[in-house]
Amino acid sequence: MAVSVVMPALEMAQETGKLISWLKREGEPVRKGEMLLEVETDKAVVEIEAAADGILAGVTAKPGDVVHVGHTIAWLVQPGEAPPAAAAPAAATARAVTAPAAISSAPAARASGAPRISPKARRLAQETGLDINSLKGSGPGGEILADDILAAARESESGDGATQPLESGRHPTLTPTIGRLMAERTTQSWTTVPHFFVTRDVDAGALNDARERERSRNAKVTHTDLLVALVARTLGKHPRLNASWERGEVVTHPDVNVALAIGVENAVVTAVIPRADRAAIGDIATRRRELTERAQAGRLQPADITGATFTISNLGMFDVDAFTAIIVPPQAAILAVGAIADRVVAVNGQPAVRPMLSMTLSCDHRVASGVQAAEFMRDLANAIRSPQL
Amino acid sequence: MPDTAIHPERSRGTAVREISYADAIREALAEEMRRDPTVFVIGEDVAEAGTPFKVVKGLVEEFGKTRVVDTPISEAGFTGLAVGAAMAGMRPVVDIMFGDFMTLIMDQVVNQAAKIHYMSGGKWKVPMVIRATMGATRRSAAQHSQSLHAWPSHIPGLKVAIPSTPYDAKGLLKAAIRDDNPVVVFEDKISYAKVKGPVPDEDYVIPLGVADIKREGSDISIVATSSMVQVALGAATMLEEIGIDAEVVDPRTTWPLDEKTLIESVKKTSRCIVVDEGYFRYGVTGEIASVIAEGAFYDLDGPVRRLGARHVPIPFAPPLEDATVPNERDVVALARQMCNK
Repeated sequence: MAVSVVMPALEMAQETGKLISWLKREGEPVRKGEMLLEVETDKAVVEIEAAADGILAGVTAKPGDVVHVGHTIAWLVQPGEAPPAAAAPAAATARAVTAPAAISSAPAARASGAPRISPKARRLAQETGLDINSLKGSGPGGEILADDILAAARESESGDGATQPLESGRHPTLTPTIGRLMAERTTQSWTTVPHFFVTRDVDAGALNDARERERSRNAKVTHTDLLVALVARTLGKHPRLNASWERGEVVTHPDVNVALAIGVENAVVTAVIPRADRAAIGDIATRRRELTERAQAGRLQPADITGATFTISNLGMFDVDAFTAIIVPPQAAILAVGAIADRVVAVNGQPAVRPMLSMTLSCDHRVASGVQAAEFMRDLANAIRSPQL
Repeated sequence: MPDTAIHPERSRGTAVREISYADAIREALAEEMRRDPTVFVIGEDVAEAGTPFKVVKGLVEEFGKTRVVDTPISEAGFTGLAVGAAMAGMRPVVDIMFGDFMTLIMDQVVNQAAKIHYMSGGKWKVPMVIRATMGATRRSAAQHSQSLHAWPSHIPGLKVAIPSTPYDAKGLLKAAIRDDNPVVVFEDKISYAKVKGPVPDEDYVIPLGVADIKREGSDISIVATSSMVQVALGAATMLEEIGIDAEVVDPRTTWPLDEKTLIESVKKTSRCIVVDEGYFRYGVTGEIASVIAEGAFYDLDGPVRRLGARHVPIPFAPPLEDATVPNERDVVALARQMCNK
């Protein structure tokens, strides 16, 4: 029986999706779970997997087309079977924004296409860097289990090249799209958002001490994690910096969701640590590590990149002293963080060598004033000088 | 069914005698009544009759009718009486012959006993015990066969013990009697005579809220309660023959619940079956499975699976009644499926 391929709803309020490319040609056989098409939403490019085995047929959408979610754009048919003719009328009801068909079709399409894998196996795959798409599952329903990962890891360690590590054919198609998104978004921000910048140098001695303390408990905690926590806690007292400019109005947000800029091949993505003001430092570190791994593997999900209320970009690890960052609309601000480096500064009227950190806040002047930005930076500097975690 | 595994820590050097689950409960009551003159037993047919299960047989001879009190058929009344007695400084042990009659005493237990300590700002306490029974396959039909231990487990202010062995039954009941909170102890009717096990002579209590690993294993955790512990141990023996090393964990109390021991076990084995004789919908297995799914998620190699009574009034017809309750074959089949063997 023919199975329809519909434009999936990947986000709650999504009305349309843009077809970026078909990853299979019309007439080509497709296996359930194979990547079939790439779709761009407002915030991300997502690869969609085939929901069933079949031959791709009856394709009605071209790359670049913007299609309502729930609308059938192709069929997966059996050999010798013709695609159903009246594809479009069936989808007409899905045109309404709130059409249940649109909402229910998307999770179904995604859930049935994804490789089924146990939580333990998924964790092990991440830890060993194995691509789960190249594995066959041995579970009762074909699920990938922990033993499958361990066996594959042993195989790839033995160096016979039988299994494919992370580099499959996916990156070349994915990266240019992310790169194009970056170009569009930064251009839109830089040319429409009235940026202004506020810079502070702050003594990072206490921050270094705090990191050492945290590391004795959790070796994975980084300066970035501490900064996320301190920035988020400070944002709680500065609603104008935890805000956005939406349709000509300032909107403040009850939750503090801090995004981190993560460098990937030839581009940058931002991934979110939700409610970072209330998250324990260990949880922030865990989430940040997971996001980084997923970002670098090109596997960020819509939930990983939506809902941010503020962004931090840290280039300290590259010994950058200071820089300015471009705001990620509709957020009101982004903090650019440089390296912690020993500098000669005046302490009690005497020259002293202290570990110093330079931070620059980029701010949308439609949302916050210079005084508000300065007050935020003052409180953040105080928080860094005596970190309360 | 095999008898309870003998745990080294329970032997305590001397040769340990084996007694039945019912005998262990009677011993616990007698010892606590000797130790503490405020402890008394109240319920239907508890004196001369010694209950239909003969669990408290002989107590009235030793302690007299003022401490082993026969009542009319009036569960709500004598449970309420016990709540008052407990508030006034006594330690009543209420006998509810069939756990199905929890329906009759729920107001006294849920709205009175469980609440008074909190609503009096800690000025009152209700150190009472309710002994009730659970378990099917006794051909007692739908009104005398249910396992309703999930009900009190849902209520803040109540503790609930569900012993599976004579050793646990004695130690948990003694702890319940000494506890200053209302504690409901569900005893498995089938186990009274059928399950025998080592119980030391000397005084001991088992703290409420400490699970017990009844059998160690590495491939799959079977979290089993009350009557289902024997089923799980029997299944584990059968699984061993086909190369599946099952761990059997007995929470022993549904509240407080020893979440740590359950989670640690599943972190070790990566697989888990929860088996309980209550209805599994909205029941004890659901709570335990969710605790494990939350605590051991990234170590799970498959979904936590549950076995419980089928969602029907327990049938009177023996073949149908037997089919409602999980048995060793059910556990073995599920474990094999989960372990791919």
